[in-house]
Amino acid sequence: MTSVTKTKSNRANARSSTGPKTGNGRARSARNAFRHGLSVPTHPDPAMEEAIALLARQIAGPDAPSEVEDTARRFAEAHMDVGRVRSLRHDIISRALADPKYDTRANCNKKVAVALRIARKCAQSEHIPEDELKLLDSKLEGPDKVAAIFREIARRLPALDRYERRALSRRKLAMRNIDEARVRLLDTRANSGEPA
Amino acid sequence: MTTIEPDRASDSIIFGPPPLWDGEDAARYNHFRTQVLADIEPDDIAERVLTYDFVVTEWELSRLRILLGNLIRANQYRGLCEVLTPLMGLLQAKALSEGWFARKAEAIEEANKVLTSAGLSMDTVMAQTFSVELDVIERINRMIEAAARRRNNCLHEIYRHRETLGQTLRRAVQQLEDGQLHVIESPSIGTKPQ
Repeated sequence: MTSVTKTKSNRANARSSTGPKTGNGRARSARNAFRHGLSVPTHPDPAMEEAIALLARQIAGPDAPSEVEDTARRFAEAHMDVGRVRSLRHDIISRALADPKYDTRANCNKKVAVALRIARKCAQSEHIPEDELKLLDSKLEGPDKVAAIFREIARRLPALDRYERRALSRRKLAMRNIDEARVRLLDTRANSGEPA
Repeated sequence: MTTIEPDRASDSIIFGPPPLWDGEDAARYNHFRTQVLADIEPDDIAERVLTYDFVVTEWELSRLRILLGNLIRANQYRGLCEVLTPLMGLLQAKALSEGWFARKAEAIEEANKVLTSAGLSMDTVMAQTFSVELDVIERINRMIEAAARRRNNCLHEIYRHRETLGQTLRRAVQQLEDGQLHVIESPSIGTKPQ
């Protein structure tokens, strides 16, 4: 069994040797688990908050009861979440497509290995095969590039799809709730003889 | 590239920028969106949101279908190379399939001759092309399915929204009319109108 003194010294050592020390280091390590930010609600972003408020106002309409206003806000939040997922997916694909130097990780590793081989051969004044030089200079283009992009990003797309499905489902539910609330409101008005 | 004018001032805030890939025709997208908006004629903002969703998913669907076709066409030479390799060796098969892909007449003739002599056809090449790129083809097909599902859901939601509010409005109007209309007594037969 570990003695009390040993445990104390282990803890003291651990405190003095692990984790980032500087403010920058701490800020950086705080984002270690950050992947795409889709699980975080949209409210912290002021631009997004403005868009949510605008859409919620338009959905609820003037003089809406608080029940409809709340549901309209849920609808707007879900809609903005759908937009966030779509925009992220679009960014990933279009950035890769627009990058003229885009290459797959496997191809990059292969090129590094070939470059090292060429460097060794150059040092020993050996002949360098044409194929190896061609590979170093090769670029992905057209459908090959698209196929490579789809192969590379394939692992990330199902996760994004999942977020999108959830947001769409929340939006659908909110919309149904708004419709139900409006139906109740119209029924009440009709029963009391008010204009619909 | 043509810039897309939003239909309303708030559109760009609510719907974001158009989901175009590098090199896609913005004018075509704009035309398609205008057509759909004119056809569906969204009555309120909720319908407008769903209509925009429909436009985005339909655009994505057509893009993925075009992409799949291009991918298969662009990889046919790989399928041909795979089919020809056991018949004539890797180097020759590679040279011939590249010539065939570049539409060189003698390469096309030679490739057809080799395939026919082995009792094969371009169908075999297509099958081989599928097997070479099966992974990516399957992935794109799954994306197509998901986009089609999302598009159908949009339409379903628009119909449901219209149906619910339409029925309620009809009922409300009916109730209102019933309450406002007075029964006019007809004069009984034989009595002289005053």
